[in-house]
Amino acid sequence: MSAPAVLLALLQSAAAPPAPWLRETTAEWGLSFRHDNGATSDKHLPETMGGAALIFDAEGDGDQDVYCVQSGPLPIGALAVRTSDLPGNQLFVSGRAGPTRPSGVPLFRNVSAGSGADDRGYGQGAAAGDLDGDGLPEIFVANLGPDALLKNLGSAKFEDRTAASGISGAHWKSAALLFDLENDGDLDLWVCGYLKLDLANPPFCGRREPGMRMYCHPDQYPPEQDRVWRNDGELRFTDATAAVGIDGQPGKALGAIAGDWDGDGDLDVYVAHDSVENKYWVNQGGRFEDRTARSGTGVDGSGSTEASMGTASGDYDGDLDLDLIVTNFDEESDTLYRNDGNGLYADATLRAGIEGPSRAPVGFGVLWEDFDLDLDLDLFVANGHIIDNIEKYQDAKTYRQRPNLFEQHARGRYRLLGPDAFPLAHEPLAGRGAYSGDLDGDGRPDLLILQCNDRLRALRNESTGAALVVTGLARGTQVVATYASGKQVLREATAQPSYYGQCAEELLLALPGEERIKSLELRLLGGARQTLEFEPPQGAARLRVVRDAAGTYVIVR
Amino acid sequence: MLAALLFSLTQSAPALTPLELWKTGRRVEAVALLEREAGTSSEARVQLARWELELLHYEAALKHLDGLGPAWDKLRAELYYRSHRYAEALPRLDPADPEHCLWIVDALEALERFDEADAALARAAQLRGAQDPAVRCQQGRAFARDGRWQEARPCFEDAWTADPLDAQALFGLGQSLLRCGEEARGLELLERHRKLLPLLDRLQFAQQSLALEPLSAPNHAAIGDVERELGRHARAMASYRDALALAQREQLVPIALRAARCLAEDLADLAGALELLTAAEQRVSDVRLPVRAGDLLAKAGRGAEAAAAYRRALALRPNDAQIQARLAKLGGAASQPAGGNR
Repeated sequence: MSAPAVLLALLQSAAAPPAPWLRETTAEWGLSFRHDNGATSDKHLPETMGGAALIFDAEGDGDQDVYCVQSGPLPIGALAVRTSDLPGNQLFVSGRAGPTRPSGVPLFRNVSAGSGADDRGYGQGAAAGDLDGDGLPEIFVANLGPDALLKNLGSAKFEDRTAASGISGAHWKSAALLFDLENDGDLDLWVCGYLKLDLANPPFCGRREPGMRMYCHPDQYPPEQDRVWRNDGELRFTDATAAVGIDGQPGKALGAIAGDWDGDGDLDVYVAHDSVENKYWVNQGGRFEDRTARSGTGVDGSGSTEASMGTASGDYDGDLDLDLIVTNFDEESDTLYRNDGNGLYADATLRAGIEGPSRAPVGFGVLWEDFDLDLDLDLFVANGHIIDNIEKYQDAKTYRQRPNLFEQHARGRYRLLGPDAFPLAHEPLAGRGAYSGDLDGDGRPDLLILQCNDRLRALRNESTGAALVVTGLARGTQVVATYASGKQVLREATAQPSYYGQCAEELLLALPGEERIKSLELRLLGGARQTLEFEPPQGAARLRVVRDAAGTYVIVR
Repeated sequence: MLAALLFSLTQSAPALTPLELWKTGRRVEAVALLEREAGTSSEARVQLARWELELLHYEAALKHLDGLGPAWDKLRAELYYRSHRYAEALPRLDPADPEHCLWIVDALEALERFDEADAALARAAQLRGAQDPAVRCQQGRAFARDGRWQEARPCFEDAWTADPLDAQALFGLGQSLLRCGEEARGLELLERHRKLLPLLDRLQFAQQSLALEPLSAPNHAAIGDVERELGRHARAMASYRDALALAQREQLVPIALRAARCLAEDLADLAGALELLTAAEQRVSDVRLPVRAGDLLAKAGRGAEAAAAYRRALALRPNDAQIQARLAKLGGAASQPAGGNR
């Protein structure tokens, strides 16, 4: 190419705006959920937390539905009895699996009324998973007050089975996690306890002038204990908090995530705590050992506690082990813990390039997702302050804050994307949970952003990449994909909690350019490994697997 | 009518100056008054900027400095730095300032300019001294950032030796030891760090509360409590004394009891403890004060003085069985006259 031609090509490439990764489709998709935090002048701390969303296949028809957790008026006085006139949780089912949608018909339909899924508790976090082994996912909702265990009856109908489940506790729970505690093939429940709260006597914090009362710091409240509920089958649970070794160690938990970070074939649990040390629990045959201090994940690299909110796990640096990231309060930065093996982690936040951009905002929802389908994990963080009048105290801060979408531009290195790629990059939000999943069935991860006391935002993935979507793997199964080029990628079959909720359980393996997957190695819970035999796809494809009687995964379609 | 009332109110009490308001903790009012009274003079604007900085009003502070020229760039630099506007802070931060030189390192790291950060850290070492604990700790972090744990270890060790309550150095050293194969000592230090952190967090929270309400006795006392747990007893006593000076009647006794315990038990200053309790007794009549004095005296074997203290307590609560039992336990000493200083 001649020099002028090269120059022209360079100028053209510089002038062309980058293709957007995501486009807002909230209205188009019919996801008309608005969170209501029931805020009062008493500044009750639960008002700041936001609700949750779950992306899961509620109907078992192969597409992803959306469940949104509502809060509503605080359960004080007569409102402690949650009547049907209070706003309830909402279930949106996807029409993708049905007949072709006529033009203008939204992708999702709100089927909450009469579904039995519209719990009226003051909702906080939630989790979904097949708890009774019938192939359909149940929903567990963690409330400020009694929780709700909703049995999936099929056809988007649910039944409240809380009373018979054995699960109890009216204290303030935050997030919930469903994971297989003992490798026995069923899902157990970890419920995060946050703070001890007296709603009838809220403490006063801030200045006394009008408009200056503020939400109190969590240090004003005693911590709550997490609870582990062992699945005994038929939707009955036993409190196993003491048996698993975590009793008597209350924290201020806002999130828990499970993963086999030490590669020994069972699921460990990492708990994000607000303002006190986070916890790294290593599973030793169904009992947990506290390895927080040794792992280095309880604090940031400077040895300071942080106010942690959301969590994600993934192999961000491509070294075939799972790393951790946790979002934190302002002035703290989010913290990326690089897994260095042997149970040790290093704070790699600076080197990853996310320290600077994450110091000012308050981070909540966090996702490691390959949004541009180029085989590495990009990073999304939903931000928003909890103090709605923060600018009166610190004038460089705002309640609504911009979400951050980071592209992984070099191995383990991130850069912030602007509005060309991410249309909400400059839009301040009251961000809380962020959840990814292939909502429209095109094999690309879409994005939901839940706001506190504001509307849910949905964004469709507009990238041009393709992926192999694998479903049916047990939670915690790790998949190592080897590509024809020799590149290897580790992904985990799981439902990432982000903050308070749950992402889609499907596993996406990108197929960029001419890349083809040569083999898939499954690292199963229990330690066994299996190579999945299949015909490599020539483009976007879906793979559904089930386990046969011998526990071996076979492809069903 | 209202105007007349306001006029009489303003006449009845002498108006406070902005500085007086500031010193009495009415800091927002101080800023507003100074802005009204002298907002246009350069001197006042700089003062306003300094006060706004303390109030975490960085944007307002920057506005006060508008047009004041480069003489105030150092102050601007701090405002930009604290607002996380590192690119704007860097050209204004003063590399010859012992505090700024470390902020430069931090700002460069946040901007991922690591080579420049390393060079800035070397300059900071020249300025503050090669063995400066903050520099050593920062050097440790820079090595750790690059996975050079063997080199990080002596840096953290130096910083921790200089200040055993430096949580950053303690954590870094523990982590370094683990990665250098000294598992047992590394874990021991990390467990120590783990016990230290909640205290440091409590101290920080107490300091923030004090910044919001500088004239609150419980806020001063809360700092005293943490300092005492951290083993910094002189600092604890300084906070307790501030608290006692500001304490209202109902706040006084618990603070005095804790302060006396610190003096008697931690600083082995019985005379000081008794003096403090006596001073408190003169301000408020509360049975707990003479009882505590009696207990301290009894423990010191000064039975007659202890008995006198218990009798003062009994005068306040005549039928108290606990006090009577204490008095009885003194035996013969209880009947002897009290002498010497309490």
